[in-house]
Amino acid sequence: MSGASVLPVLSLSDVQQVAQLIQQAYAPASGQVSAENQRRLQQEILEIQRRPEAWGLVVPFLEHQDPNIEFFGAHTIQVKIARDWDQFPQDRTVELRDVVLGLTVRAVNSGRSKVILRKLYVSLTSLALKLIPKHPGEWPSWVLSTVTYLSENGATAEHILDFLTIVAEEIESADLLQPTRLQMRQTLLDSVSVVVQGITTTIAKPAHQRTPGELNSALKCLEAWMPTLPASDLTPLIPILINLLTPLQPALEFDENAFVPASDALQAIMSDSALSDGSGSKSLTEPLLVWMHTWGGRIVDATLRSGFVDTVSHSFCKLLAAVGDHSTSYLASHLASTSQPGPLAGPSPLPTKSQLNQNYLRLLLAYTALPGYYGVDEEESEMTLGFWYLFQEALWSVEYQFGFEEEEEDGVDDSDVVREREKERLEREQEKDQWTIAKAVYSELVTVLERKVKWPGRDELSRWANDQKDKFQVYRRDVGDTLINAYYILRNDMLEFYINGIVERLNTRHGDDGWEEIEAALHCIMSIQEAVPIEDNEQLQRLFGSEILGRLPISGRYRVRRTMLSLLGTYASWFTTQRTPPPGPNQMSLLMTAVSYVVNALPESSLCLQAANALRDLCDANRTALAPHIAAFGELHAGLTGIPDTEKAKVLQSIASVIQALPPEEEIPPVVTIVNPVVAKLMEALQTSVRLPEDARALAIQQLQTLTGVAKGLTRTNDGLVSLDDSDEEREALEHMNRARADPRMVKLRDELLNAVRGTVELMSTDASVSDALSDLFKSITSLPTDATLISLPPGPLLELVCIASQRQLTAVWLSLASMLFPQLDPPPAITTSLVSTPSPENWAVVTNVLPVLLQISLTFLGQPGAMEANPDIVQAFFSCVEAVARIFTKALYQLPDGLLDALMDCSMTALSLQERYSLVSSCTFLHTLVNRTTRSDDLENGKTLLAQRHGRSIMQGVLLDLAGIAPRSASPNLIDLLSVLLSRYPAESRVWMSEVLFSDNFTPSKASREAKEKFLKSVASSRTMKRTREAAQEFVLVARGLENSSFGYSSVVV
Amino acid sequence: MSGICRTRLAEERKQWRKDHPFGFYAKPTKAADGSMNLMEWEVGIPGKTGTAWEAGVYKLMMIFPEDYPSKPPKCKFTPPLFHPNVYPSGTVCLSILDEEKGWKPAITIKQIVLGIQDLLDDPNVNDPAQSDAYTMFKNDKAAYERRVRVQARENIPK
Repeated sequence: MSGASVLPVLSLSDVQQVAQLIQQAYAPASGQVSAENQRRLQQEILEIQRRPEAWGLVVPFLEHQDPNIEFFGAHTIQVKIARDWDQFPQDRTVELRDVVLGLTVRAVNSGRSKVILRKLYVSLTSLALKLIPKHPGEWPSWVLSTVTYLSENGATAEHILDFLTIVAEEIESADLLQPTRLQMRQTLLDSVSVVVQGITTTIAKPAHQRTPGELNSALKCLEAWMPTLPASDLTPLIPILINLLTPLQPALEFDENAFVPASDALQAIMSDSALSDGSGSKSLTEPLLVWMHTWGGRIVDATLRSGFVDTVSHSFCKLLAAVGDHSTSYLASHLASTSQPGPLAGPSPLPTKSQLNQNYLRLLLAYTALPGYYGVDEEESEMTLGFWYLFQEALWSVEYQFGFEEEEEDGVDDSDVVREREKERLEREQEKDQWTIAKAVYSELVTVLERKVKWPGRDELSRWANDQKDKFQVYRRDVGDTLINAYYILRNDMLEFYINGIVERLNTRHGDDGWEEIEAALHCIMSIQEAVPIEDNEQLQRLFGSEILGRLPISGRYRVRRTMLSLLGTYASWFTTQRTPPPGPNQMSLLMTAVSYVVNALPESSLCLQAANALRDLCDANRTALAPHIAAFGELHAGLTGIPDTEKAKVLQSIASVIQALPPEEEIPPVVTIVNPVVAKLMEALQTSVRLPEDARALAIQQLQTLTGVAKGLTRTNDGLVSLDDSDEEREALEHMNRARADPRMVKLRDELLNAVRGTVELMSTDASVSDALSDLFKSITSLPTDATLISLPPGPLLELVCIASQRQLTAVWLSLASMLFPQLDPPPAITTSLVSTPSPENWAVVTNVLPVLLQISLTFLGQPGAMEANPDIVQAFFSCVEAVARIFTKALYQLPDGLLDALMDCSMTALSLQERYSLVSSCTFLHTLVNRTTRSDDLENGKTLLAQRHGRSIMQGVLLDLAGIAPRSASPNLIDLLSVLLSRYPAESRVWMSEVLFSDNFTPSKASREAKEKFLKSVASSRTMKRTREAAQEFVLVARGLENSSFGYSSVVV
Repeated sequence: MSGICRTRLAEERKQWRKDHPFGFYAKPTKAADGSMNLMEWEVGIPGKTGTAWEAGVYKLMMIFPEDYPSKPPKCKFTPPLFHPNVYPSGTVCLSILDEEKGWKPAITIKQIVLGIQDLLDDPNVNDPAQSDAYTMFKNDKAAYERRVRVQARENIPK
């Protein structure tokens, strides 16, 4: 079977030349070649490989003695078949098949390395992928016939198994069209019996009769074929595989060479075969559990004795995890089962299912509890964590069904009633037993995980690399998730366990010891917070009272304190359950104890972040309960200088949120006290801004952030304590607030505040960080009248500031703020009335002053060439701003100075013609609102006419061009909305515009014929409903793009 | 349809447990009674090392519609994130999460979270979703980076 007949024959010198190139590029001596040169050589080789002549390199190269060149030969045939198939004469493919088979046999017989052989097996499979779909007759039963050919020509069982592995892997990973995939899968299915037979023969024969790599090849082959093999073929293999796990003689060690691949294969059966997802409890789960009962303890004992997880032990842990994954439901539903598994080889008498399951859980728990630190001393414990949550969920969903055989008898007699009662009694008992066992297991789990999340002492930790610390940190988080599931089983017993443990450690610890253990327990309690109900809880009272919190360190000991601070923040809302103050005159409430603990940590730089966050959460959640202690917060404010700058804003926010719970008139003094100094500092920053611009900027930003924090704190929340759903109460609260706002002290404070903000805008608004801080402040310090706080600023002056800032530098930030502020100039009435709201004359004045300026700046900016394309953020923010104006102050647009409305409309038309979706959609939305509002207002008759005469046709033109192909289809719904509103508000005009535009000579080129346009025009003109118009327009969109009657077109219509 | 949705999500959960990128977490949320809501997941996305986002783990809710996986999940940072492609509501704007752009039913939760992690340090200038972060990113990269670092500090896991 020489290749000469079908592959081109190259001259010896050509072959040698390429061989030399390969040697230069890849030979060990290539270290002498520069990297640059090597890249060039490799490039040259790849180019040669692309040429049709390269087919001729295969045979001479495969016979070469240099392994690099030989490999290149094998690689070339595979690449040529897979990639350059068209170069090969299609009438000679059968000959090629025989050549590749021949080359493979020759390589097998001359003892070539597995790398070369594997390449040739891949080549054979690539060839099959080319031949079978088109000419199945050219290679009948290709797998079987190749196996026969190879084995008749000297290939060993190992060779055949390796070939079969490649076949399954390559077909599975090939990028095939569905029919071809099915066809190729069928060739695999047709070969199942020969594959199973090959595997079975190897794995069942005595070890000494196998070649060294044979077992491995067989098990790899099994893994590769796993998704293809039917359950009936897999089941007989399971006992053989389990047998491979067992030592050859009881006294001998486990054979790692057999154990690991057999364990891998069993894992694959459980996860990727017809038996995955819990199937095969009798043939798979139970035999494995019996084996684990007999042998598992030995592996675990050896691991614990040696303190080292060896290869077998590691593989066993994976096997345990795989059983857990596969058989969770079985393990849960048979946890307390006193019956025995089906007839199996194993110890006599067989243990009960409950014993088997408990043994399994013990083994798995041993790995969860491995001594040492995860990521440093061991890598296995993490593998087991996933099981515990699945198991908890499975335990919850167990339905007890006892195996009373149903007898098909008619009628009910006494014995039926007796049997029914007996069945119920057994069910109850077994459920009780199940929970007893489950609780015992999870208690044990909770104990070991508390140990596992403990950080090491300082000395040991200093030896850890950063990635080990990161890994341990992530592990602690994952353990936290597992604990939540444990909590669902153990409930308050779990909290009691931690609390008792901490108290005991506090009682017995000496010197510096014991804090890491306490920290670990606190971490665990923090992790389960989301599952702990917000209700009174004795254990949490102990935690936050003098028994624990009162005894935790208040200096140094950063880790345990940091965790306690985070824990306090996490449980902030639990404190709302503690309504009654503790007995005794000097008893501080748990909440105030917690607040004091947190406040104490604020000045320390390594704790202040957690402390400030905890304070914010505690104050926010417990406003009403803390309000009587406002004096204490005054002290906190007085001591503010000691707190790092980064956290000051949060501390003031916390104080403000407590102030908010006071009656409005009582809020005045503390608000003045906390806000005044901030405003003063902001003014100070402004005054130094010329001399020390950097310092002034930083100082100003900090004050702006602090003011934002205060504004947020003062904003009312729905904490469930004050619910103002009654409108009288609502009105009264509003009046209270308005009276307090009118207090001269507050009026003065707000004036000063606004002045300081104005100064900041004038001096610093072009700085990106200041602008960001101003934006946050504007958003939090404005509100609708119903939510106004003492320091809320009116929208008018702020809008004027936005206008000033935009004049300095137009950004989307200012335009977005303008979109937020315009509607606030005409707020919905505070108390529901039937009257339509009208903006005050002052606010109208603001609109008519600000709008032309803002428009002028924006239109000038967007009118520059390319500005719209380069600034999608500004385009979008601009249109949403003018949309807000069109919605609320429609009339103002018709009172603009000469030419400004025309310029705005021109800009909208340009945006409509951009293919960029944001501009398109936002301008569409604006135009829709404009048309809608203009035509609906009784007092805008002139506007209605003007809009039609000056702009109607161009809007229609923009829409129709977009529908016909300029706009992406995703914008169609917006365009169709705009079209509909034009048609309904200007019916007669619209028909004329449409006809003019559609049949104009310079209408955009599209697939829509004259007939299609006529049909579209006719449908919308006669349409009486939005639905009809929408359908007609949708159809036109498809027709114009040539997508009508295509399933893609219709299935992808955006509604 | 919901059958497909739940089966797929159960499978996604299983795959996630077997193999997920380091430092991420993703789990269905639970009601107060411990019952699981497969349709809403809580996800943690760590910032990449060597970027301004490092050290932070950003919390995101993934809300799956009933017709998932035909339609993509909605991904929403809670609290909303300072990022040019995150809407003020926290919703992420990313082509693979857009039904009309790059969404494909074969995209896995793992691919989504990795895509979002990539987006953190590599914003898309074609998708302005919030003006604050977008403007700062466009006008002053250094200030933007400082602001992102402050945000990372606030998101250090407990």
